[in-house]
Amino acid sequence: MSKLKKILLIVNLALIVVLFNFSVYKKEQTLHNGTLVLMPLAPVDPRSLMQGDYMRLNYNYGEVNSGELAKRGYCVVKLNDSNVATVVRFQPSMKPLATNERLVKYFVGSAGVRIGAESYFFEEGTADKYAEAKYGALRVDDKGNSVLHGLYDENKRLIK
Amino acid sequence: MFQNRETRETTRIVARHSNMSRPTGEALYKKYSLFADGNDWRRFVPIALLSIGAALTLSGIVFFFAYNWQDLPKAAKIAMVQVLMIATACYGIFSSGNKTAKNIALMAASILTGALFAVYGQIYQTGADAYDFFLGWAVAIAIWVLVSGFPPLWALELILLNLVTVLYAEQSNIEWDTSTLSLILFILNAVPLLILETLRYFKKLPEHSSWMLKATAVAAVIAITTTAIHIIFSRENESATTATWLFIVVLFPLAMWHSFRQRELFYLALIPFGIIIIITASFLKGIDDGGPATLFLAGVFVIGSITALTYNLIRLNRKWHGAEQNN
Repeated sequence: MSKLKKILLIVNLALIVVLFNFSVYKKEQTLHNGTLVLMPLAPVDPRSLMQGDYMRLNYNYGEVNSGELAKRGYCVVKLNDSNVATVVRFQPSMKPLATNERLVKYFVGSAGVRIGAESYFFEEGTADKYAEAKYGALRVDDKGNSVLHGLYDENKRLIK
Repeated sequence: MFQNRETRETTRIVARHSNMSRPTGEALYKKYSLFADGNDWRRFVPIALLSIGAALTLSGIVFFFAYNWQDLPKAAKIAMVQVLMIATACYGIFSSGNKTAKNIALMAASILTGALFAVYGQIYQTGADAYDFFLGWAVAIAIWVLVSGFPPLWALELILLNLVTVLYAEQSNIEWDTSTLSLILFILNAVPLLILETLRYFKKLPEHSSWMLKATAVAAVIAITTTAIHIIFSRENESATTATWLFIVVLFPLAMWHSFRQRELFYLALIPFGIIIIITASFLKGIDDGGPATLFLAGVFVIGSITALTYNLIRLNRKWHGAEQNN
């Protein structure tokens, strides 16, 4: 094997490892420091080949026509005392933002508004307990990046 | 290889059409080493066992993580797949073992990269069957694919790119009609096919990789045939329509001519089947005007054209490869 070939193979490996762990780090940051946002939802449950069982999530954005929205932007939500979100409006940039409002990045896909966490993966065979889910629990940082970290039931408790 | 096959055919024809005795024939086969002997088997068995072993182990790993064990801490999951991936990649890069074993290790590392991304997606809930997952995977292993010169790895990359295209068309809100999508899939497979054919022309194609070329060709022909059928039934997009017919009119005869010159039946079988399907589709399109008679005509056409094609393929095969050719 030529030296150049070897170097290229190593560079590829290093790139995967570094970039991968960096994105793990970023997700962990959002999970630890983000605000809890409970998005109301309406679930169904299919299965993915490489990742196992999951539940497809449909968030309740209220009355919105995705055709009229910008392709990418921010969904502005207002939180009540128990962190349950109500969608206030969609806007293309981070401003304006009132103090009691939070940003969640969205994009418009073929199925309408998406925030990136439209499914919830869980251990195979445990679908039943997640059927009671009423809220998708997101951790959201101040730039609108969100990580879905669990599903909550109607009493706002994490389903485990 | 080619030389070898010719010799085998000649020996076979001579053995069949002369009064040569069976033992003499077998002795001749042995003399030109046309039978796989102990050495050939010794080369074949380790590679076959290694490939099967790697494939089974990898599917075991993938399904283990697909189960999504709740009691396994996420750091443990990430560390396990990552260590496995790095270890196999290092074997593929640094070991002094034989080239095939190293390539298979690199292939395993590439698949484990996919498992790694799948686990990441599970933990951080980044969405099921998202096109970015497969895109990230395809990009992450791109250098390995290009540098390795290992056709199974090329095949993996091409499958990933096809998946990305289909999922992207489904998930993003760009509005490709069906014929545009399948035309894009055609180009996606036709370009690598052209590269492979060029490599073969300059005898740069790695050994035992004609399956890769054929699989790519089948994918490309299926894609363009599908496009043509979409166009016949619903003319959605003028530029896609023009491009498709242009591709068919130029590339189909070109590929068949190429096949003819190489004395190889592959494109001569594949492309006419595509054409038969396209013509049958246009018969069926006419069913509204022609009624049941059209259906009857379509049936007659399918039987007639397939018979004629098969007859000609057999005739050519006989002419090029002798009376009996089994491979």
